[in-house]
Amino acid sequence: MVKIVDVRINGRGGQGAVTASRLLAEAAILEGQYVHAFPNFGPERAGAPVTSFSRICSEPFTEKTEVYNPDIVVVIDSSLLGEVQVVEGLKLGGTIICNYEGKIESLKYYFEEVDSKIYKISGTRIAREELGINKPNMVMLGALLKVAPVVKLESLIKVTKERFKGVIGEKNAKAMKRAYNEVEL
Amino acid sequence: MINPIVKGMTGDEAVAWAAKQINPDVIAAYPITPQTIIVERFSDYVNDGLVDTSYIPVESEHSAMSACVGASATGARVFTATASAGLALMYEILYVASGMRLPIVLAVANRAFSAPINIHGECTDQMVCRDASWISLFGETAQEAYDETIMSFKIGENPEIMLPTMFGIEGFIVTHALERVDTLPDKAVKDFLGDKRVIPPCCTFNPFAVGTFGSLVLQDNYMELKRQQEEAMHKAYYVTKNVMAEFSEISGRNYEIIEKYKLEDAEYAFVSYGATAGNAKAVVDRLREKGEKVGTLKIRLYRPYPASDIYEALKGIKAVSVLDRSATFGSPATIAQGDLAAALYGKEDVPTLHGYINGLGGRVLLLPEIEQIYEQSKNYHEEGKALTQDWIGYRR
Amino acid sequence: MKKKEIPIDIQNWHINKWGTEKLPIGGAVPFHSSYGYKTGNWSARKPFVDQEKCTGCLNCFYYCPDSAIEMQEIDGKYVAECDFNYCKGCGICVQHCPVNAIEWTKVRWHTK
Ligand code: SF4
Ligand code: SF4
Repeated sequence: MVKIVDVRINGRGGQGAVTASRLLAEAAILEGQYVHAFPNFGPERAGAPVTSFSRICSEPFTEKTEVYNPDIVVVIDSSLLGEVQVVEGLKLGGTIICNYEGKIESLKYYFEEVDSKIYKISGTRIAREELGINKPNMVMLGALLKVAPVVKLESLIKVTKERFKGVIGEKNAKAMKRAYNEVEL
Repeated sequence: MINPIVKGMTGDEAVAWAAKQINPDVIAAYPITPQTIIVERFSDYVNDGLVDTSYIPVESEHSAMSACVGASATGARVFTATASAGLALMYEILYVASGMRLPIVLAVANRAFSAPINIHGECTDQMVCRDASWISLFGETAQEAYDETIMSFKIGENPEIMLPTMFGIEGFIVTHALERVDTLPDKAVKDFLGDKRVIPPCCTFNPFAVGTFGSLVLQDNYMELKRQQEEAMHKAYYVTKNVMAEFSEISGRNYEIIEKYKLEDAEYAFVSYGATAGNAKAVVDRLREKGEKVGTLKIRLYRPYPASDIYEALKGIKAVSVLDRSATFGSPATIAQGDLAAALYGKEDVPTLHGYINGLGGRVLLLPEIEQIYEQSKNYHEEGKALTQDWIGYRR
Repeated sequence: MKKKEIPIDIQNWHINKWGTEKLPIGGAVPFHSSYGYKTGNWSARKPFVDQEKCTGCLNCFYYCPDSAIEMQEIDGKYVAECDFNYCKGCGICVQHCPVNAIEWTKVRWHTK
């Protein structure tokens, strides 16, 4: 059976978690893959913890549920770490990518009992430096593609540039490439 | 088959895109979650001049459907969309539309009824309208949402039918989920539907053919006119079949009024509609891997109910579990199970039926739960239970 | 006053009691069909237009819910006239006449 990849993005309202899961899915569609991507809707406001999902597979699939057992969890905001169970439902041996400024060792401290690969990226710093604002959503996707190539970086850059026309798209593309290279285990 | 243009769209966007390609004459709509994106996108298209549609913003769904009725009576091609409470508010005018034989097309983003207030997916809203003499379809994916929008016009507008059509896609899980949609080129949609509605004589309301619509009809003729609707519904079954066959040809996607999945040698089966069918298929795949003989049947056309097709498909199966994502209370069977029981009653070699109300208010029916249903229906069959009705996926 | 007649096929509809197959779909009725439906004997009062007083302002013509008022040309002047075959006797026209040209009169129906 062909493997379905489930990605969950944990973020805060306003950080672009929804946009990120959508663009990831659009990139997959661009490559001819099949997707089901949607945010978990509820009473979300700016700043509240939100999740959104992308389910990606190279073959058509019929599942229509939320993602309960993700293969990959992307944490856009490190302040979520103590607040919500970002590892909830994560598959054994799954992947966590976290936007974290500190040392990787201190990040691992949060996930002591979790059997998963933990990656760290200074997403906020990259976003501040490259974009000028704290919108690390696309940066995190750049890092994601390095550790789990669900889609090609070029496809993601292409849909990003389509979504954010002009200079913002260019900046995001650059930030993604940088994140792609800077992610650490 | 026409080469598709692949797009990434949510269910709502797919419906709006199809409506844009159809370019109806009039849209009258009122926003309600999770349908809002349909009319929101469409109003963008109107604003950008991509369509020639008159967009009538109204103050309620009751008015929306009323405006649609008026517009459709003039011979216009009319589209609208709603959900849940909005559909309930339209309910009165639904009967006016079907009684006046106006082929309006209505997209329903299936959502739970209040109270308690809930914005998520559940099909009760469309199910309660099943007797309103509207042709009723369910869609499983954004792709089906797109295709059914186009097909609905063709079915309802057939001069033999002249009945309004509604199709439902479930809130959020389909309406707001991004999926891959193979769209047709504008021209293919135009060719499929024709530029304008075909208007049978004596059925329009315009300066050149004056008439009275929706007039007072009492004991003298009322029953005859209702009987006409029933006969049109009956014909709609054949017309839908033909339209789906025609659409399958141009789109390359196989459409049938019911979708059979691995039913040929199945001993047990699920019956469902809408997005639940997708999950049922996934479970069937899992169970088949374990060597279980199980299949699933998806009802795409709910009204007119394709009773004979369903009987043919389910004949010889031991037990059927109906996954019904709509609520009914104090009823002897779930809604879909009740219809199914009526369709199979008195026939030979029919399965036993077990109905499961699930997924209310956006609760997800998990795949392991569907597997559990399968095990249970096996047990029931062995115990010789013929008809049971239960809820699944709630806390005791 | 012009002669009002139901088109022949609609007469048939009433007389022959058309069934499901023949009735126009959706009960959409072509115009002129209500000519056969005489409602003139529904009331105890009728409006009589004093054609001397009438200024032809058309108020009664527009307000009559049954379109029972007809405008007639008499000596080069348009005046209102009520068609008692269809007037239901609601009295609206009487209320709306600005010059009180319509008299609201009791009628006695003679039974044969
Ligand atoms: S009484 Fe009523 S029905 Fe008769 S002419 Fe006057 S307005 Fe018309
Ligand atoms: S309202 Fe009076 S004045 Fe005017 S047309 Fe009628 S009868 Fe004549």
